Amino acid sequence: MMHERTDDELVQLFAQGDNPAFEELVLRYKNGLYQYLKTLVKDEGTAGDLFQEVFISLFKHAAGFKAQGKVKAWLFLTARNKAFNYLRDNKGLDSLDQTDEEGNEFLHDSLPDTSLPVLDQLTGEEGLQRIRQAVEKLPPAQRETVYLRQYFAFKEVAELLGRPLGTVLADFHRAVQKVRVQLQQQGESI
Amino acid sequence: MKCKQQVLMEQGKLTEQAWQQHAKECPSCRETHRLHEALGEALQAPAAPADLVDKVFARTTRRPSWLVRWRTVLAGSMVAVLVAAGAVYHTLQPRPFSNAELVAYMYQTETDEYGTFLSDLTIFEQEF
Repeated sequence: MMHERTDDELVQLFAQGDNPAFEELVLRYKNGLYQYLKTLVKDEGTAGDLFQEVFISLFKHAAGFKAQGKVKAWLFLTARNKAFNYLRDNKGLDSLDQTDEEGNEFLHDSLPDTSLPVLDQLTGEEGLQRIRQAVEKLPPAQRETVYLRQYFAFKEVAELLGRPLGTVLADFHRAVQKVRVQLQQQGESI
Repeated sequence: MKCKQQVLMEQGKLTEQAWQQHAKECPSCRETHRLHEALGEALQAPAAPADLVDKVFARTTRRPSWLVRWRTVLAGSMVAVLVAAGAVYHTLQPRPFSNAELVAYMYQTETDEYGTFLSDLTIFEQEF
């Protein structure tokens, strides 16, 4: 069954002319890739166009793939490059590389100790929506890291973004802390 | 003050599994772990629009082969040529007169002949 095949196997099958193997790859990553593109370009139509370009590019270049377990990373990196190019050409590039703290150090003592059970107030779909809204308010680089963490390990995120692992870790955990603070502030204002 | 185990985890110096084990006993880390899980749930990717996938397939695996595409173009061209040829043939064929045209022709012919007859008669009368 196609869905039991690894990404490398699917690419190899497709390179030999097995079209259902390519379609399985599309179905496997369509949701995550579309969500990631929407996060970057903030527009459904554009995300849809770029989505198609990414998979058409895979269709054209799959024959050159080597079995290195990098198909997923290639898809997301290609998506990222296309999104960057789009934002640059449309002057919407608000610097995805910006982060409010650089380097490995993060000032874990500068944010309040939010050990209060903020999640107790967040239940059901409304709670999840509030979390999403809090994530959307993060700086672009942190937001991107949080989304990529849904699909990749920290080390893979660092490789994909071309950043040190320590920076990625700092970005992510600082983002989590900010989300927590936001949710707590919302809870206090309710 | 943040738990030291959490700091180690955030710096990548403690595995996530070890931290999760610790979180079972540490209220602060347990809350942070819950938030990590809630983030994962909240950010789960919704289904991409179905028509997007259809468009990808239409431009890749389900795109008609070049042979099929050219066959279609060729067939369409031949139909167009046949229709055009038929139209030209039809135009070049002598068109039968309509009844009105026929009556008008006969009337004119008869009028012309009568006029010629009258003219000839006049000449005849003058000479004879």
